[in-house]
Amino acid sequence: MRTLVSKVLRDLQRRPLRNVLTLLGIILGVAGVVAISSTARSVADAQRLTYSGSQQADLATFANGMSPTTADLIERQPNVVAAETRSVTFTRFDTGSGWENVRLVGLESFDAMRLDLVEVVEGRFPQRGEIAFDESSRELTPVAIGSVVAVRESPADPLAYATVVGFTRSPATLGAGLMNRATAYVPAITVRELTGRTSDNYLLVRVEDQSRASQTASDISRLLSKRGVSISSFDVRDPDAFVGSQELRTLLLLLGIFSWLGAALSSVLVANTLAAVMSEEMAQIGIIKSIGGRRWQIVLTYLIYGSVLGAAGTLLGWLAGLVIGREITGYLTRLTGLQQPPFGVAVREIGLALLVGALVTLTASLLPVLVNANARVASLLRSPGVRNEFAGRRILRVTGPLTSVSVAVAVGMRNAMRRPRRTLATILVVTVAVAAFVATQALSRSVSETVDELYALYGADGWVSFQRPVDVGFASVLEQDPWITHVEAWTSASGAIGSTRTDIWGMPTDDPLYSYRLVEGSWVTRSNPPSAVLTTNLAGSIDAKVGDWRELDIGVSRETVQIVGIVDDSSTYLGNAATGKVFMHIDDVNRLRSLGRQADLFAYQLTASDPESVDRALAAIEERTREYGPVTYSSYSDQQSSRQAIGVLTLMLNVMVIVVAVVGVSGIANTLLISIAERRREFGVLRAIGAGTRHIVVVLVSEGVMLALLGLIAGTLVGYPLARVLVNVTSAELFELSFHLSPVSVVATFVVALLTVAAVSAVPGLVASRIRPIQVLRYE
Amino acid sequence: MKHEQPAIRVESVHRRYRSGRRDIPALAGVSLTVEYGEWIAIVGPSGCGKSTLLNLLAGIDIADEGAVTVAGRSLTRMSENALASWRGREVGIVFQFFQLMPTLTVLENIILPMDLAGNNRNRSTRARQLLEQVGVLELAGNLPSELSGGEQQRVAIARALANAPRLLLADEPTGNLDSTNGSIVVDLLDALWRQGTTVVMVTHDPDVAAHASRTVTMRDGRIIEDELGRPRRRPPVALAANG
Repeated sequence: MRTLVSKVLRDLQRRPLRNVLTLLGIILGVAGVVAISSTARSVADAQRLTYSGSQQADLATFANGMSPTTADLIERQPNVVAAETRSVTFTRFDTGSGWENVRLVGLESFDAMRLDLVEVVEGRFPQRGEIAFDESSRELTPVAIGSVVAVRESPADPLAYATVVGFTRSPATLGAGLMNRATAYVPAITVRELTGRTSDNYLLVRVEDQSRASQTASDISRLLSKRGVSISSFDVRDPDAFVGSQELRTLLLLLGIFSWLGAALSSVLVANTLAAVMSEEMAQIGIIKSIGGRRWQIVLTYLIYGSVLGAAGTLLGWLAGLVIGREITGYLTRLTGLQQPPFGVAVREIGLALLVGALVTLTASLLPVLVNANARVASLLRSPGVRNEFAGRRILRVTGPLTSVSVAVAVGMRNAMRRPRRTLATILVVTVAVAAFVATQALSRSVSETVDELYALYGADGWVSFQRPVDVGFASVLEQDPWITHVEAWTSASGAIGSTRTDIWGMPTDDPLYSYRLVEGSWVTRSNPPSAVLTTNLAGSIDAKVGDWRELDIGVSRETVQIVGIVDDSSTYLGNAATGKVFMHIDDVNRLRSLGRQADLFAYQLTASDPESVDRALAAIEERTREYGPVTYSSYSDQQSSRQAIGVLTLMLNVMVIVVAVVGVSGIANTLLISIAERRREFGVLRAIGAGTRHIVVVLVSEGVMLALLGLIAGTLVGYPLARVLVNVTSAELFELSFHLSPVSVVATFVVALLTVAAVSAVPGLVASRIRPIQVLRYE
Repeated sequence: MKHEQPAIRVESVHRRYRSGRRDIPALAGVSLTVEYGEWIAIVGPSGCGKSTLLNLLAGIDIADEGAVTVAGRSLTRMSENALASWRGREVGIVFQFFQLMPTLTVLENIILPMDLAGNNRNRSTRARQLLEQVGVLELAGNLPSELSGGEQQRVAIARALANAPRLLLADEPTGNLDSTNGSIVVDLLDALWRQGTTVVMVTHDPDVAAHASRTVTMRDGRIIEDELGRPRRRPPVALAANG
């Protein structure tokens, strides 16, 4: 037995290229699954690690007129654990490479911070005249410790300068690159000087009992109202979600699907190669049997062959998976403001690696080994390793006309059909790879088109919200601005129906700035009791129908509303954990919020919608309304942020598709290399009768292209339903998507895949052209 | 047709093969000259170097020492690609085990060398003429696996003649055939020789060798005997080139 083992180990050195391809197949399969599993685990760990010590605020709101004792007052309220105030403003900064948006957070004392704790990752917290940026800000603009940045409240204001002294990590803040906006920290006095305010304007509250958070928000609202502090509605934190968690979950789900797809493809690739190795070994198995080798000895011997490859591939794939997982985690945690957890090894990933790597390899080896071990000695000894017969009459007819162009092309195409099972396996690999590619293209396009459709609902070029509500008639004041063509007073609030948190929007009945898409019922009107229109996702989530009555909890009050319509609107903003929207008449929402004839949000349409004009108008609006604490939002910027978030999704998916494509191309390369090994004699004869390198390359490229062509046709057919499934899965997880698949991208996939395969197939062609006729004819 | 140079000139050729740690001499100082229009039979026991010599003449093996000149070209310093191209144009090879392409029909197998050499004119017509010449035209649409050994070897001879080579090299052309089919193949070679083709044939069968105009006997990598057989004949008409 020891001799047999030695033989197998030496055999491993006989087929270096084939063994490398088999290893590559195992490594890719294992690495993909391990990488995604470890990423999912690490992101969960990152979430735990980041939020465990960050003392996340459960309630947050902008407030106007708070005094230094407001936080103490709130802390004495029932269910309140801690309260803290900050000075926050949305403004712009410049490091010398252009103005960028920034959320500037001012703190009285960084040492006394008790909620939404910010951690210094480099440098230190700022003092007067200094600034510390969230570390993700570097994705937006080049900024370094020691550099000086200019900050301005509005274009008309003088510039204030601050020296960068540190970088921070801020939990619950999406990356600057994703939000298209940086977050920075300064002493509170800096924000007050910039804004002209005399006190903090942002309130954070941590509660004891999460289930009573909304009630506590109502109590605090009433208390502050009595004290003359006006507040916008509270944001109530969902304890089970963090900013970006929904997007991350979707991404990991899709990556998981692709990683298992990759693993399945790798398995086919490995099985294909090992089956070819076994067929080559038939004569040797016959010799071993003829000199007394027993079945179990043969089975064991060749299982060792598979095991050595399996073990090496599993180990390398596991290590590669951990490294790739670490890189993906780093990327995702930077985007979502999570702290990257320390490197760790989990038993689950070792189990997955063994399952995908070792088990697949052994199973792939076992079947051909058993078949050969059970075969009769005479038939094994007679076997040339490859059958010479070719009985594909139909293929002969189809490819016959090609011989008038090039006999070498016909030889290649017919060679592709000589091993039906292997051909089928290779076509299957290409089919799945192409289908995955088409599906990802469809998903990417569907998400992108859906975002465009969603933003088309809103005719507004931007919004301005005021920290201090103003009279709805202020809209006509704003309309006097030459940049603005139309303004509507809106109001927005956070609320809940039952346990489902949602966003509430109040707007006029005939609002030209919102083109609602009614699915059922009618649009909002002013009524008593109030009527509401729900978005389809919210209606689905709470199982509501037109005509139903539901209690709406708006924080400061609760009221039973009648559902009069359902609209299709899945638009959301990054980091929003609320489910859908409730649309009501502005007067009804204002009544529920006790705002009377006031509004804290205005939607505006501008004379020009290009980013430059919007930014100019936005700055002018901020300047004119600065006494009300304006925060402006532009539609183009929101759309850009959404696109960036989608960019992350499609980027990661494309990476997985590249892995799948590599497996697919490897499958073809592997099949061609097996073809060369099996047909060395034929290539030698071709050389002997006058075939040059070019002819041999043409034979192999034709074989590869034939396999790819069949795989491409099948892959495109399978790709369409797969794309539907993928878009549906994403719809269920993220938001409702409309299906889009571009024929141009399908054609492009076809062309690129064929060119890639042709290029890759040329390599085995060059390998085959190195076969010297004497090597195969000498022992004739 | 008068030729200034001999068809083949082999001068003091040595060829060794490595077996494990030892060098086995396959040819040890072989010299041979073959004129156009000759039919040479190389005979000798197994392992005497006759197939090695034929491979050197075909340019599918390269001598370690000495010079091999075939049809005026020195093969010693040519690249593999140049040798392949030269072979396609100048030499026809017949193998013991036929070596037809299994995925090509009989007709396509004949067209293949023309395709490789870039001879695109009247390929199909010429292929059919050759098949008719070797007597298997009715099998043109068949695959090699559907043919008997004798039929396959006749197709192989037709393939060897596809580009109208002046030199035909045959390695044990009857070695894998029964006596009836062997006779047919020898008759075919005889006809080709009579038409002017220079034939170099390796065989271990004395009856087959007897058809040649000259017999070269080898032993232990050396030529030990070189005798004329039937009188050398000048061909009355050269075989039509390229249809």
